Amino acid sequence: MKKPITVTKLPLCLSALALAIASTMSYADGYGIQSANRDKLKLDAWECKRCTHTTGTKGDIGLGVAQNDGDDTHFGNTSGTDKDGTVVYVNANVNHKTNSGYRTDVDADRLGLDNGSASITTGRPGQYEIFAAYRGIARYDSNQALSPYQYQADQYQLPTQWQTGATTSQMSELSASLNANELAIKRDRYNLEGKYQGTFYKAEIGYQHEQREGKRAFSANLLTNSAMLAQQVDDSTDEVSAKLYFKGDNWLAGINAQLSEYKNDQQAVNWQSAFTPTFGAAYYGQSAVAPDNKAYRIAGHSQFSADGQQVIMHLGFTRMTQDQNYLPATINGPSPMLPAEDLTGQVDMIEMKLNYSGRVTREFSLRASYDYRDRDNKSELNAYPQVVTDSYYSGTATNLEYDRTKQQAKLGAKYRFTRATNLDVGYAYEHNNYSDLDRETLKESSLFARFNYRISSTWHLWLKAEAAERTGSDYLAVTTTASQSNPLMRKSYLADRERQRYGLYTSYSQGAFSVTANLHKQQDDYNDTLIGLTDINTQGYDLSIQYAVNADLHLNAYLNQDWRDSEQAGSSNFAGPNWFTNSEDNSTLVGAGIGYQNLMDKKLKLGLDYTYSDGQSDTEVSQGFSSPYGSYYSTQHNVNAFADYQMSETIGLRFDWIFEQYQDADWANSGLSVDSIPNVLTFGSLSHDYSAHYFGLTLSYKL
Amino acid sequence: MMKMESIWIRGLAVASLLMASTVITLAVNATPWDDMPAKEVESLLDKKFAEGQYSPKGADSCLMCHRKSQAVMDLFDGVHGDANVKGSPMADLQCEACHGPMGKHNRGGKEPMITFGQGSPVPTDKQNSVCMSCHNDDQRMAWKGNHHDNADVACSDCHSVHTGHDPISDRAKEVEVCTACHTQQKADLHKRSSHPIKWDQMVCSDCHNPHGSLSESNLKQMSVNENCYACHAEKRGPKLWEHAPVTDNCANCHNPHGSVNEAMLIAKPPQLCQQCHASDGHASNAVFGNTPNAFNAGQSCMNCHNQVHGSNHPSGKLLQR
Repeated sequence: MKKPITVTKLPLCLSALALAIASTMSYADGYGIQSANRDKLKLDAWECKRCTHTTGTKGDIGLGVAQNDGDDTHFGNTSGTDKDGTVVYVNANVNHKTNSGYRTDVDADRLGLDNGSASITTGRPGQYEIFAAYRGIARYDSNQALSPYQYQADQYQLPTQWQTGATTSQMSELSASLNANELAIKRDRYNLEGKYQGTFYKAEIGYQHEQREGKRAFSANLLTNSAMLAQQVDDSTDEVSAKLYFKGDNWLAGINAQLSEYKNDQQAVNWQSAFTPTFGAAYYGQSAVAPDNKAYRIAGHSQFSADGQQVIMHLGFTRMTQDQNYLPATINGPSPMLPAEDLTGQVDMIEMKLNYSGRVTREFSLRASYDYRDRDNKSELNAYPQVVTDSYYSGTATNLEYDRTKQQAKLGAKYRFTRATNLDVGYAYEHNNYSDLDRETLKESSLFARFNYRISSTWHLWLKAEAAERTGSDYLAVTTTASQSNPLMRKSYLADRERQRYGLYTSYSQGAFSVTANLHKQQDDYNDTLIGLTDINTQGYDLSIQYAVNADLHLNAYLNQDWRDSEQAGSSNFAGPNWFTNSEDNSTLVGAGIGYQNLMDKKLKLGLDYTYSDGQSDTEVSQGFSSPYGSYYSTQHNVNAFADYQMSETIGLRFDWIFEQYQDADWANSGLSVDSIPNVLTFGSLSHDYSAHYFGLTLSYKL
Repeated sequence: MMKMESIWIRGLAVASLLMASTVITLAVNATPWDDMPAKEVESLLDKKFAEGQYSPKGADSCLMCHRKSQAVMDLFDGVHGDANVKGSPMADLQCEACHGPMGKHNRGGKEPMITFGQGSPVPTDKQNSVCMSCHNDDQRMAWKGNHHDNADVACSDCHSVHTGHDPISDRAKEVEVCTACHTQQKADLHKRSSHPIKWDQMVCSDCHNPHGSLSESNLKQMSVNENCYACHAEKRGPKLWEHAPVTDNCANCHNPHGSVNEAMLIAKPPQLCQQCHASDGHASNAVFGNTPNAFNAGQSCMNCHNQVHGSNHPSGKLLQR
């Protein structure tokens, strides 16, 4: 005979809750391999006779030749090379497998072009692997940056016949001395990695070397005059990383470490002034470049999980150091004594994170986290003599630490009403402590809710709303600046802000047809700002459609549009706002594509993608009268097409065509000549207006 | 009239044929649990999984019927189908490692199996529990509760197992898959300035860990700046004269996905600079757009203050050197 259960009301509730949790835990929480019931398993007859096991070498290799239009190197961002003419490249996708489980993969993608890549992975998957890779990344801005400067003997020099002028128009040799420079940065990245997987642990070690070369825009400033230089970029970064992780039934723990070293082959920017010195004798100038630096990091993670609950703990430490010898305070005359030879810079960062995620019941899950970050600048603080732009002494200034401690707490919950509907809500609080800034503390609270509704097996919809409020301690403009800031100014990244964000997403998928649509809107109100950024409104939508006409013919199309309007105010009389700026940005993206395969007796595959992107920005400043800025836009048409024909069982031929029509304007340089501004020697107009083609022919061989 | 009728008749015939072929296709693919409510299918799968009634011959039992499907047989091209690979499902419970115990499934397909993908009646978290039971490692340790897990994204939404080469491991495919949902980022990638993702020189996973991380926005490093320093180590410093908002957060001025402005800036100088600088002097003045000058043309404020990412020059406090 069972005993009757006699409990009071509260324990009844607790018991019910405990029972609910316990009963939930008794449900299968998933189908993980560790939970498999092997009691009745008899593996004696599991021979896998029908399984196939492919060994040997498979894949294809290709050799390609391409004709690239490089008149305007900006096209290289699309084609992958700035070369004007013929380029040769190699493609490969080969794997080799043996009976013993040994596997080697070789991949190459347009190796030979500036953005080509290649990799080889070899080893026994699941046990050990060695990986080596090369990857090129290139960015081309312009090959029409006009400058009279030539880089010789570590100095940006002017021609021997150069005639200085008080203004750019008085530089009589300017037009005869101009050379077109290419502003582009090319990166070559090499990786070597090794992995070993034991029964309960995993170890990895990696090395990466990246070389960066090219030229970038730099402004060489002496007093009120400035000249744009095509600054040499020649630096490298080396990184060594290692990991060791251990794993048990319900836990995972490990450490990882990185050591990174940056080396700059350039020691300084030295230049000859193109201007007649305003006063004094500043015929030459010198600026610092990015100093060599090092950083190391060590971090530990641990994860514990049981019954649908999971806790992650993380602790990390990073140290960034820099001890590059200083340049002299001036090269024009004797330099004042410096308080130190170098910064002996050191910034330590500590981070800690505690993360919980768990399912309380089958329907209800919780997330919680606490995050702590501390940035401690331990560099020595000294009073440094300030020789402004190598021209005049203006006293000393002491460097600042900019320390920061950030703490963030998050709480989130998700409740499934039915299999088709759920609500996800979250709250986050962030608290920052700063040194040397206009505010000592900055805190932000945010709340979001997202409702998911699977209307049917084919139609899905979600709606998200978020609100955030940022505020902080009293705003007191720093006094460490050379000239005092308007007390009404609220720096945009420290200002009080109210933010609202809304999103609506829906997708419909029926067989071969799918469509998605998205609407989004965000409002930022800097509600305590009179001088500075006051409002940002962002909104947009997008639509995309995909349709598989049949197994071989696929169509897709998409449309995105977004708008961003911002407003700010300023004061020219160091009082209340008396001028206002309105900037309106908008962009449109339209694309369509078609893919057709298995044509001509399954030998031909065709693809065609078209993209149109357009972005515009209108800026207007008003102070009694309105002054609109000039044109600022970019318009791009892209066609990317290919035809892939399998000529025989082993030989294939692929033809690629890329077409781009691109046009842009920037009021900062469009229509300007190098001497349009009396006291700034510019690169002239950097606008683009071109139509360019890339034709590639690849002969491939199937192994 | 006859002609019209014949067109109608031909149309009806074609429509009937299409309908018939659909019915036939459905009949071929139909399973006894197609009409069963998803909840019941899930309960049945739970029960089957708990009972552990595995097949007598493992994969051979499954392939008795399924070997005709190329999609099924493609499994053997990859590591998941290779019994020689340590830790591979094929080295353990074979097909049933992922699809669950066979039970009575082979008796005329009477019982469902665990399936993956959009049409599956199995809830996403349960689908993913299969994958995560082997793939819970340092790269995926923060999967639970991360953005994708919370949004019910299934592993199979991005990954394929029955293949020798998971398509998402190709750079071009990765960006396509991510931007299918992250459409605002897709639009940003096509703007005037962006990281070179549009043509797959870079990919989303260069900066983000789609399987979850302990950082905001699933970044691979622990903060925005550390993520940027991974490729832009020259900006890491520390430098003698730091620019406070740069030290604070690169995203104070840049949108890494792209912008209608140059250099992925969220606004153009001089207005961008004047959102923080209103010192007594030239920074407080309205910069009008009618005539090109040192404040609005060339490099704008950077014509003089060119070291906006910080300067290590002893006399570089004003970020001019």
